[in-house]
Amino acid sequence: MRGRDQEFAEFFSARFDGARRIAFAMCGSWPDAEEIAQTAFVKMYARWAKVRIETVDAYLRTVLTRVFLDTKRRGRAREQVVAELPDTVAHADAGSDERMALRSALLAVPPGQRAVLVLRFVADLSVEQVADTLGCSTGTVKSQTARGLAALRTAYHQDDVNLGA
Amino acid sequence: MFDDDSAARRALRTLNDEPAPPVSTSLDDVLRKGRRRVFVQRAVSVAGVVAVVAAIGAGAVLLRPGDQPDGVRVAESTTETTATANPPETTPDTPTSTSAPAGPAHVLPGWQQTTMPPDVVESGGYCQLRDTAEPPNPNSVFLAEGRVKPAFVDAVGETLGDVPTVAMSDWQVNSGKTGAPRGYVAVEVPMVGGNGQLQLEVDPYIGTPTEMADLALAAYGNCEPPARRVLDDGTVLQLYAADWFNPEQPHQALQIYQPEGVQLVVTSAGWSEADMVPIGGGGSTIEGGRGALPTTDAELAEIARALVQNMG
Repeated sequence: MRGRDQEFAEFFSARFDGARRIAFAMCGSWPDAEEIAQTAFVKMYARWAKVRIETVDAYLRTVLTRVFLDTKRRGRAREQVVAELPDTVAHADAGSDERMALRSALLAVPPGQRAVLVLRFVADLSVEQVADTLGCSTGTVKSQTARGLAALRTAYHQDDVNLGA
Repeated sequence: MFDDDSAARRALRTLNDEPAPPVSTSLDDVLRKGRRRVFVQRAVSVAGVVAVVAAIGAGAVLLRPGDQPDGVRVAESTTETTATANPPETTPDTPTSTSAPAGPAHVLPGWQQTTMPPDVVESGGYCQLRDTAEPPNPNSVFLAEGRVKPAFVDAVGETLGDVPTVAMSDWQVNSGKTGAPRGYVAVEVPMVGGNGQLQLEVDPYIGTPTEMADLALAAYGNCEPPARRVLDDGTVLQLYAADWFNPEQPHQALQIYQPEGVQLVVTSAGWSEADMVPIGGGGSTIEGGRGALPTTDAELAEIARALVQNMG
C-alpha cells in the first residue's frame, strides 16, 4: 500500500529519530526535541502531497528549524504537565563530561546562531544547504557561523573556568 | 578549541554520539494531529470562499436596480415611469462546473467495484491508516528507467493523442522519501489554463497482487472503495475516486500490482511544473492548479492498461 499515509509512515519511520536528534542539539532537552520533531512532522503531513520528493529532507530540515526558532521566539507559552517523568539516559561513557560541557556552551549561543552551528556541524550540511534551509544568503550563514563559534568558544571556556573554580 | 571549522565540526559531531531516550511519538499521534491540521486548513479555506461568494452575492443583489424591493422605488412611482423602461434583467445561466465533487470512481466495463473492509473508517477526510507494516524490501524487483519511462510516455500519448512532454524523471535505488528503491516520472499534457500531469511512481513490493491491492483499498481518495480489474497475467489494476481535497489541485490514482513484485502508481494531476513555487530548504510546493483533471476515469484506466502492455 503506497497511499499518502503509507508513504508518510515510511518517511516518518526513517527520519523521525534523526530529526529529533537535530532538534535536541538545538534545544538541549529531549522532551522539547520530541515536541519540536513531532510538530515538524505534523506540519509536513499537512503538506505531504505537495512536497517534492527530491527535496523532502531539505524541507524537513527547514520546517524543523523554523519550529525550533518559533518556539524560542514565543517562549514556552505553557509548561507541559506530564504524568511520568520523561526517559533520561545515564551519561556513563568517558566523553560524557566533555559533551555536557559542550552542550551547555552550545545552549549559551543565541538561538539563530545555534541553529546555524547545528545545521552546519551536527547535521553536517554545506554553507549553501544551510542558507537554503534558513532562507538566507551564504554570506549570512558564514557570518552567523563565525559569531556562533565565537560565542560557543567563550561559553565553553567560561564553563571551564567555572568548573575549575 | 573551535578555532576553525574542522575543529568545531569534530567537537560538535560528538553530540551525535550521545545516547538518546526511546522515541515516545507514535505515527498515529502524528497522523491524528496532521489530519486535524489539514481539516482546519480546509475549513478555513472553505469559509473564506463562502464569505467572498456571500459578499459578492449580497453586493450584486443590492446593486441591481431591477431587483430593488417595491418600497425602495419611491421616486419611480412619483414620476409614473412605467415598468417597461427597465426590462427585467435576465439571469445568466449558472456555469456548469467541470470540477466534480469527490465521489466513488465510476465502474468501467470490465472493472469490478470493491467493498471497503468494516475496520476502515474515515478520519479527517482520509481513511484511517491500515496496519500494513510491511517495509519495502530493497532486494526485490526494481524496474529500470529505460524499461518503464518510454512505456509510460507511449501509453499517455496513445491514449490522449498527443506526445506528452517529460517534466521530470528520477530513479533512485534509495529514495529519500521512502528509504527504498523508487522510480518517478511525470509527463505534462495540455489543459485549459495550463498543463496537467500524468505521474508514474514505481516501487517494489512483497506479496501477491491481490493481497497488496486488498491492503491498499484505503490508500487514496476519500475512503470510497476503488474499482478493480484483474488482467489475464494476474496483474491487478485498482482505480480510486478522484481526490478533490484541494479543489484547485485534484488528483486521481490508479495502482498497478504486477505478479513479479512491481507496483506502479499512475496519478492524474490537475497541476504542472509551472505551478511549482520554491519554498525554504530548497524545496517547492504547488500553488494554483487547473481545478480539473487531465483525464477521465476511462482515459486513466486505458493509460494503465497500455502501460502494462508496453512494458511487455
